[in-house]
Amino acid sequence: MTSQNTHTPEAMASLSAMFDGEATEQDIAALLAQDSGVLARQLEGFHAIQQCLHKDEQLAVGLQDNLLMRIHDTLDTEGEIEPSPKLTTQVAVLPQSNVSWKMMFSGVAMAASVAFMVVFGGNFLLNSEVSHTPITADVSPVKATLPVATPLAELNQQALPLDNMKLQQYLRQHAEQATMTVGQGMIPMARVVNYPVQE
Amino acid sequence: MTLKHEVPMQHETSSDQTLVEKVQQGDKRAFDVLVMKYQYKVVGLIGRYIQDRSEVLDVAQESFIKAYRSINSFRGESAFYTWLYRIAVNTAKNHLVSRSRRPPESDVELDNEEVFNTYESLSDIASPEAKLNSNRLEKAIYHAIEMLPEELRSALTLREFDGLSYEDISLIMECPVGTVRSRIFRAREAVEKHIRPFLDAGESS
Repeated sequence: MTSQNTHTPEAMASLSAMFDGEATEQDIAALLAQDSGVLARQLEGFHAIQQCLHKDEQLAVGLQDNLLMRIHDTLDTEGEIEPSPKLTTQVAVLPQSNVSWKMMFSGVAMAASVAFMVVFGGNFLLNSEVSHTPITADVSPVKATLPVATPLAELNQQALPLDNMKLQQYLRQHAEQATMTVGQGMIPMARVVNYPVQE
Repeated sequence: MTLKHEVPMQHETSSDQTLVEKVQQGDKRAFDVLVMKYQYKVVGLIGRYIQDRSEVLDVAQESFIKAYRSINSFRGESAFYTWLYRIAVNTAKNHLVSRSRRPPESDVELDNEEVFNTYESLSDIASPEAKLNSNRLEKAIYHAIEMLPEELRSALTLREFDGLSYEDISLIMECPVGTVRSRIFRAREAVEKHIRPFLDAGESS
């Protein structure tokens, strides 16, 4: 806050013009070379006159450069004199971007593994009862060793042990729902909380 | 805010914009000038929301600091004072809300609107001593204006009462703009000298 302790009438005329919003570039340059205390003291009088003529209820006097000094003290204390950079810059330096990418990637990986387990695990369970064929069948021609998808009609006709009935009912319903697990059927599948199991 | 308060603001954009641009370029003294120019208006504005003078100054200080820190976001789409006043009003309202969330001092719980109205009504109450000083100052100002030469008084009142630009006043008074500028300054300077003892007394009290 600085500069000249003396003030010229020209500078005060510039202050008056600035007060009215009529200052030129030269006026402002002249004002910036003046002492803040002198300007504040003069402006106090200008404000008092204006407030009085405008019939303001309370004349605010006595501020001069007190508020200005408090603002300077606060900014100095916080060590943040410069105005904060523009918003675009602030967005660019946000340090959380790597974290969010990692979280998104891990989420996708988790969803893919769950989908894999649903599709292939379901098929495995579905076909496990059918593959009651003897182990020797594994050495038979390749055509016989391939897992054969059992049609629903055949499943319904198979005679199952009582203790396995409940599991087979579940698997049957799962096989009906499994058509939803292909391609775009995965998304609606995610909305199914559980399968309606018939007791 | 009444119309007569708003009219003089119409011509303040260019000077303020120049100062704002200088602040944005890193000239801190330009911001000092803006503070000095608007601190009384901001304090008066906040005083309508908050009664306690020390709290008013705290909120005014906070408002100016917020304005300084975000001045790079000011694009000049509105007048600087409009932008600054918005910051001040929001800061004052936030201050009232934060006060209302503190442990209540009385048994009666008030919602924010009631708190606001209470403070607004209280802000109209000034101490008798302050009222007396204010009345004396007002009388001194009017007396000083009456004592001015006709051309100075006319220039000042056309500016302050009617909110006319220097150019409009020059057309009315049939004189150059530079003369208008000089007359208004000389009028203010004369009145300021007359009321200086009252202002100094107000500071010491």
